[in-house]
Amino acid sequence: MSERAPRPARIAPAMSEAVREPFADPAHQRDAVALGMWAFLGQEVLFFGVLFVFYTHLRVRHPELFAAFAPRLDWRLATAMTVALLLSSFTMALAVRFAFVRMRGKLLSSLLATTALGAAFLAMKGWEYAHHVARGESPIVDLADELGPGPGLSTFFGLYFVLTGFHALHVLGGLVALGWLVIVAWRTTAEDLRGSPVMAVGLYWHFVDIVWLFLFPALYLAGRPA
Amino acid sequence: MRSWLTTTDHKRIALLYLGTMTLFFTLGGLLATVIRVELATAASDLVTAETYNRLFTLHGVIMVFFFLIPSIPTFLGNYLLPLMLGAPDLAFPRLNLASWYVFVAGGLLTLTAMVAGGLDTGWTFYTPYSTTFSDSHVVLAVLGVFLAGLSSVFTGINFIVTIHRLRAPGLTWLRLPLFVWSHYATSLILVLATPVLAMTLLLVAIERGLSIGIFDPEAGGSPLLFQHFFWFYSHPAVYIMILPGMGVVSELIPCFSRNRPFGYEFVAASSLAIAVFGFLVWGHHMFVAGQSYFASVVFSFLSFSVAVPSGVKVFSWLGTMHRGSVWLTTPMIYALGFVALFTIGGGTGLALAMLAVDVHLHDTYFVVAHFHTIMVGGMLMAYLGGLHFWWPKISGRLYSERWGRIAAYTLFIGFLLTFLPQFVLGTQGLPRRTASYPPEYQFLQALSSAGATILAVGYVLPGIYLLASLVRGRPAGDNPWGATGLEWRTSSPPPPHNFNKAPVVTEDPYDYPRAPQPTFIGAGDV
Repeated sequence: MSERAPRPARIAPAMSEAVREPFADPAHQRDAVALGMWAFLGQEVLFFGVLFVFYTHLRVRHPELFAAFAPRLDWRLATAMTVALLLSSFTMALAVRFAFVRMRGKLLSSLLATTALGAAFLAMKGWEYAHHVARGESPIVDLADELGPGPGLSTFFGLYFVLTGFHALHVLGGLVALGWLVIVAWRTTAEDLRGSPVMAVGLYWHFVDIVWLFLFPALYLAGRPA
Repeated sequence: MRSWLTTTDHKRIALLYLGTMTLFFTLGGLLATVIRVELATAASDLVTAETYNRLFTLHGVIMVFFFLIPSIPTFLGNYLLPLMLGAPDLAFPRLNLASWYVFVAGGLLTLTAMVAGGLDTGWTFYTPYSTTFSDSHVVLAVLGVFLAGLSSVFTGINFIVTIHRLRAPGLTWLRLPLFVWSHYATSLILVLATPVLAMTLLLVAIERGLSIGIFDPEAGGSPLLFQHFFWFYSHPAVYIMILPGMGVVSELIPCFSRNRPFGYEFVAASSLAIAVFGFLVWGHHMFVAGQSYFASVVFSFLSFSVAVPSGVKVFSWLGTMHRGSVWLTTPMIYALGFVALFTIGGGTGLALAMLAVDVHLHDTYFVVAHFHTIMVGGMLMAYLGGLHFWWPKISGRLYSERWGRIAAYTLFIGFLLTFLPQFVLGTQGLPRRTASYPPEYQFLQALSSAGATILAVGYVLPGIYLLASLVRGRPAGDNPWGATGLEWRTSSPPPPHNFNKAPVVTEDPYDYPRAPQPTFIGAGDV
């Protein structure tokens, strides 16, 4: 670990609007916020890690479930969702840049674009959920009885709903954070814009995209002939 | 009142945590009291077997998740980290307050589960019992524990960022107090292990509602998968509980030996080593659960290797006292009690890590005695030692040293009398978690219950004289023990922003030959 000279801690109340209580200057605060978000993402990796272990366990023990039921998932729709999320990551990266150089108008439009793309993802996801539930492909409507005891359709769709459900909740959380950033940027003048919160939400948003990039092949492309 | 509930001052939040956790500890203690009264006789005559299951489950859930895990980090850590680092507060003060609210919400959910009829799965929530068969309030309880875990994650992130980014000028990594090192290692575990438990408990709740085949073998799931997930968190959680205690003891022993800690760098590194090794040993909880023999051998070996960094710490404490000038005050008695009981608890842990021995001892009173020796004997001794050491700093008052010593010795004797008989009961094969037992175990069980009575007195006493000191205690002064460390350079209690003048560190830690003289003179100084 490279040794950095610790910065002096601030004792007097903050003089500038942009810096909060325990920090000495904006760069110091930015460092701390980035480290805090990375630590949070570290715990997110472990949080989703449980789900991927669950996936691996089922895939190894019951590959026939994936061969039988994964083709029922619509990979074309999932590709459209992937494109929406990748584009949203691009606009998010722009937003972080615009926040740090204090270009308020462009910050607002890239935040709104990110929000719209994220919402589009959730809309497609919701449509897909409704479609599967209508066809009885869900853990709520248990069809295992028809197929006899043992793992079956409801097991595979249980996995599908749990994995994509926790991901969709994270997208929803990201949208809430984005909405908050839009409101803050709307109310703030260009000189008083703070880059740190946009950067933190940006890191989180990219992480949620990356989780989807693993879910997409793991669920939609599994069990298909090469 | 309102200023307390909206405060972002780390010192006030620490005291909010102290109050909340004291309530949970009292509740968990009352449950333990009923358990010990029931076990005083061989028949199940005070409560039914079903009630007994609920009693030990709630005792475990409350003590583990609402007292032991948060105890030292959220109270002493919260209070002392910024002071020791020379910072005005933690890095994210509002996140700190949020963590307390989330913790209280989790506690209320768990209490709701308790009032609504309780929980009978054991604190381990083993599947498929918890997902399929138990008709108690599993969902409420696991959501409560989930929130407590979220609060832990907030605290861990806050500590990591604070230690990295808010050190005073000149306070390099190798000048950090050992308390800070142990909290750094603890925070790594809090952040990296807790999410696994969080997701696992959510999956238990989902499985109970929907039966989606995660842990249910009927639907292609595996109950063993739950045990892997659960212990992947819950073994590191043992180090979440003990590492901060080790940090406290590493502060007390140099101060009351008036000596530098022996092998400072090794003690600091051993905290990190324990955190890392702690992630690799979870399988030793599953030796008889049907995991592969090869996996068991590897987990057994790795479990033994945790003894190395733990041993480094014990030898450092002994080496610090050797050629030191030992001063037997109340905090030091607790520290010595910790060293003795931690060594007993650790050694019996090695016995359990042996594959063949574990087959005999698994799920007996030996296991109960082992982890209570680490948790109650070790961790609680350290907690109380830390509380007595920093009480003058926190309250600005001196407590009765005479009563302090009486309570410390009472606790130590009560502890040994309660739990040493349980080691014997375990080797004789008495299974844990039963309300009734064959009459030949009656004598040792009664001895254990008698010891628990003494233990209870030892817990009530500090509550009385510490509160009395707030009214009658003499002013403590800035540094009654003549200790090193930045927290002793400010007033007692410290001002809102901790230091009136930003501290600058120019010397090595624990420079006891040149430390200020203690202003506290001993038992007569009441």
